[in-house]
This record gives sequence, C-alpha cells and structure tokens, in this order.
Amino acid sequence: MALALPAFLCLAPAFLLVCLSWPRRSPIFSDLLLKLFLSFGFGLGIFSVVFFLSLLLHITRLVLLDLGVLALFLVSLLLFRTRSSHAVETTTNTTEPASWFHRLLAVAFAIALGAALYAAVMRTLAYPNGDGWDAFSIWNLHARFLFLGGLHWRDGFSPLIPWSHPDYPVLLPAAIAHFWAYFGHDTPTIPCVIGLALTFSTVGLLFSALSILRGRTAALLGAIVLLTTPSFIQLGTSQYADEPLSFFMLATVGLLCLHDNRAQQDRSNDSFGLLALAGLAIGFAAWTKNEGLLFLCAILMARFVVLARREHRPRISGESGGARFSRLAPVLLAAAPVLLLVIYFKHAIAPPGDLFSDLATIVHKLLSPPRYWAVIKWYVKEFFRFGRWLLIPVPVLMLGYYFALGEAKSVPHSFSFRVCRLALALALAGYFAIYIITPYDIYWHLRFSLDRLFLQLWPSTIFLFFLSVPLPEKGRGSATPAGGS
Amino acid sequence: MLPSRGVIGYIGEPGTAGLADYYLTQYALAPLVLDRSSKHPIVVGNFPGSLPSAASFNGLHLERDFGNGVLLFTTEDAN
Repeated sequence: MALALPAFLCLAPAFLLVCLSWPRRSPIFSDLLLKLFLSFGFGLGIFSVVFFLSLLLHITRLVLLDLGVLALFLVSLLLFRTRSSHAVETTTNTTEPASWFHRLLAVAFAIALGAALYAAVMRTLAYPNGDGWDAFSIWNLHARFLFLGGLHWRDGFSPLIPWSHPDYPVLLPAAIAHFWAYFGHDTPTIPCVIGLALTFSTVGLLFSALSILRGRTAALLGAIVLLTTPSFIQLGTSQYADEPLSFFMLATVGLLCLHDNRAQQDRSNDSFGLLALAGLAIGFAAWTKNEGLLFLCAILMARFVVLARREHRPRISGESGGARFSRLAPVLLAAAPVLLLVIYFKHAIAPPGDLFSDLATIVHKLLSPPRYWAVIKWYVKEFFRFGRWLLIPVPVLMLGYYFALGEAKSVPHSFSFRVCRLALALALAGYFAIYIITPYDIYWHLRFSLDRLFLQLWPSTIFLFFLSVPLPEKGRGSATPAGGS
Repeated sequence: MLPSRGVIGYIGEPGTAGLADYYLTQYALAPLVLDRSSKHPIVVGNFPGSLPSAASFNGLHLERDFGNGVLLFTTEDAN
C-alpha cells in the first residue's frame, strides 16, 4: 500500500501526457496497451526530472509538487484534447479466427512470459541489492546521495570517487530517490520493483507496438524472442541502467514508426504528438545513460543521411524534403527540456567523463590497427553470445530467416523505419569508436560492457526485424505495417 | 562518531583486492564521501580478512574497534 500513492503520482501524469500527445482522431481508449506501457517509462522519467528539480530549487514539499504536475497534465488534457467529431479507428489489429499457428504462438508466449516472470522474481529475491557492482557502486549509490544528502547531495558527484562514474546522468537514481522520499527510508524494494516493471514494460511495449503496426503474429513472435533472451531478464533484475535505456530507445523507434503509419492513414498533422513523445523518449534516454546521447546523435545523423540519399521517395503527394526536415522540429522541441537538464548536469554538477583522454593519445589509438582487430573479434563473438542462449543464438536464426526470405514485399518501409534501422547501426559504430579510444584496458572494457551495449539495442532490433520480414500471416495489418509515409 | 556530511578517509586492503569492500563501505556510509586515503581527520578502516600489523596504522590514532575488522581512526596532523 505504501507504494500505491507514489506509483500513482508517477504513472498518472505520464499516462495523461501520452493521451494528450496521441492523435486526436483516435478514440481515447485506442492503443490503450501501448499507452499504458509507455507510461511506465515516461512516468519514471518525469518522476526523476521532478525530483532533480526539487533538489536544485530546494523544494521540500514533494507531494505538493507531484500533485501540481498531475494537475497540470490533467488540465492540459481537458483543455487541449478535444475529441474530433471524426474520430477514426486507425488500429490495424483487427480480429480474425485464430488458426492453429496463432494458438501455438499464444501458448508459447504464455509459457515464455511465465518462465521469464518466475526467473525475474527469483533473481530479484536472490539479489535484492542488485546483481553486479554497478548497482551498488553507481546507480543506487547515486540514489542514496540524492535522497540522504540533503543540501549536500552534490557530494555524490565528487571527483574523489571517480569509480562511481559521477558523470553518468541520473534518471534512474533520481527516480529511485523520489520513491524513497515517500517511503522515508532507502528500501531496496524500490530499485527491485523499478527493475522488474521496466523489464516487462519493455516486453509490453514491443508487443503492443508490433501488434498495432504489424499484427498479432509479429507481436507474439517479437515478445517471445525478447522474453527468451536470458541475459535480458538477468540485466533487467540487476538494477543497472541499461534496461531503462533500452526501453527509451524502443519507445523512440516505435513512436517514430507509429507516427509514419498514422500520418499515412490520416494526412492531417494530427499525429505530430507522436513525434513529440519520440523526442521526449530520446531526451529521457540521454538522461539515463551517456549512450543515450550517442543514440540521439545517431538518430539525427541517420535522419539526415536517409534524406540526403533520397532512398525514400515521398509517398504523400506534395510532401517535400523540407516538410520532412520540419517534422524533426517536434522531436527536438520535446527533447530539448530534458537535454538542457542533461547539459546543466554535465557542466554544473558532474566532473568530466573518463572516456576521453588527451587528443594525442586518442589519435594514437585511432591509428592502431590491433585495437580495431580486437574490437571486431569481440563484436563477432558477442553477436553469438550476448543473449546467453543455451543452444542456438537467436540472432543467427533471425539472420538466416532474413537472408532466406528477405523483406516482406507487402511492407513498404517508412521513412522512420529506414532512419531507425540506420540509427541502430550508427549506434553500434559509435560504441565501436568508443572502444577504440577507451583509456581502459581494451579487453577489460569489452569484457565487462559489450554484452550490455548489445542488449540496449536488442529490443529495438527485434522490433524492426519483425516489422520488416514476411510472416506466416495474411490479410491483417500487413498492408501498411511499417507506415508508408 | 561520524559526521553526517563531508569527506572522510578510508583504508583497507590495498590494490584491487580491497575494491569491493571499499565500494560497499562507500555505499553503506553515503552521503559521506570516502576518499581512499588516510590523509583525513577521520579515517575508517575496513579489514574483513585479517588485521595488518599496528605499524601499518602509523600516524593514525585508533578511536574505536567495532569488531569484524571495522576500525575508526583519527589523525591530528591531517590536511
């Protein structure tokens, strides 16, 4: 019961914000599952930002602040979310008689979900303080400083404890500390619950987004692949920030693709709110981990590259490249407040990061071929083993499936699909570059982080894969699955 | 015995062998900041394995032995 009030104050504003941003022509309860799962991540993001601002501004009445945020979103929803008289149900997930294949998939999904829930809960009970050093030496340590530090909370970002990575953003620590403030003490229950909730929210987000864009078969297959990735469940219960980051990356990718889908079905500018939500997700990704900033750069770069190459011919008549550039505006505007907070944190609170040494050393490492060879070898190795599958690595199966069947001919890739696909590749390339210049022992660094970096991108990769490949399903949701704008 | 805020010193097993103990002690004592150095007026010692010889604590005045290798020192000429 003690969790009920802060959980409500965390989730309700986020749900209202998601509803506020959703296309007006959609019925208010359409896409409810997707809205609910998005609310988990956005709720944590908002909760985190609110707590951090309360520390900066010395606001001690946290309940009033939370109620104020809730009231703000509620009033905004009532004022601005007027229902259109032409509400259009754009969901492609129509019902059809369940075939034996659907029933088989549903059973497999239920088993995978049950097994994953059991494993996650047992791991959480076994490791209530997190599994691995990063939980207590970085994320929960920062949360303790934010919660217990009072006016001296900045001590937690002291250069005297560089091993705690004081330059890391604080979405997760600040959200944990916000919950602790309601409890009055730093109970380990909160990081456990947040880890569990976000892990299964990521699965739910993948399921619901694929269900809307590609149908139930793709949704079930995608969710099964993610649920049966052992290291994903393990990481989700380790109280690390990689799992929240993967949530926000998936939210960005899913919302951008959903926007294109809706924009094609309804040519008004009704779905710009989805772009704004995608921008907010990017901002929260950057507020979660430094890799989120890299993801932001990857999305922007991919967008410009796709536009510049003109691979994608506009399907909406009269839509120019300039119009596509203008669609970047809602993304950047929504990301801007959180990005400004990240910039303030980096410049005013956190000491410099540890990954960039002096220019001469960086250049020397960039010109060292053995380092490239080392990273390439580890990339190949991790491709097979990052999920810690028992028998056959799932990426091998997916790659084989892709090369055997190619991409679904009935699936016109949307602009955002191409952008996101390239962005994930650019993010991988960015990680590669960081390993080349790392000041740490390169093998140590690869050994203890590369699998987590792959897992950050894994849910988004699964999403894009099942959005594009042919599936044993006909006549449903496959006409414009990835959005055809 | 400990201040509620600020920086105190920490000594324990040297090198990487004592890192986990150091990190866990920092976690337990936050919001105090533990500098892994004895050059502070207050120093926490953490030796869960075996206590080193008294000579290792040169310049430190033992204020209290909490047992299990947990010690509290003060120094007068620190800073």
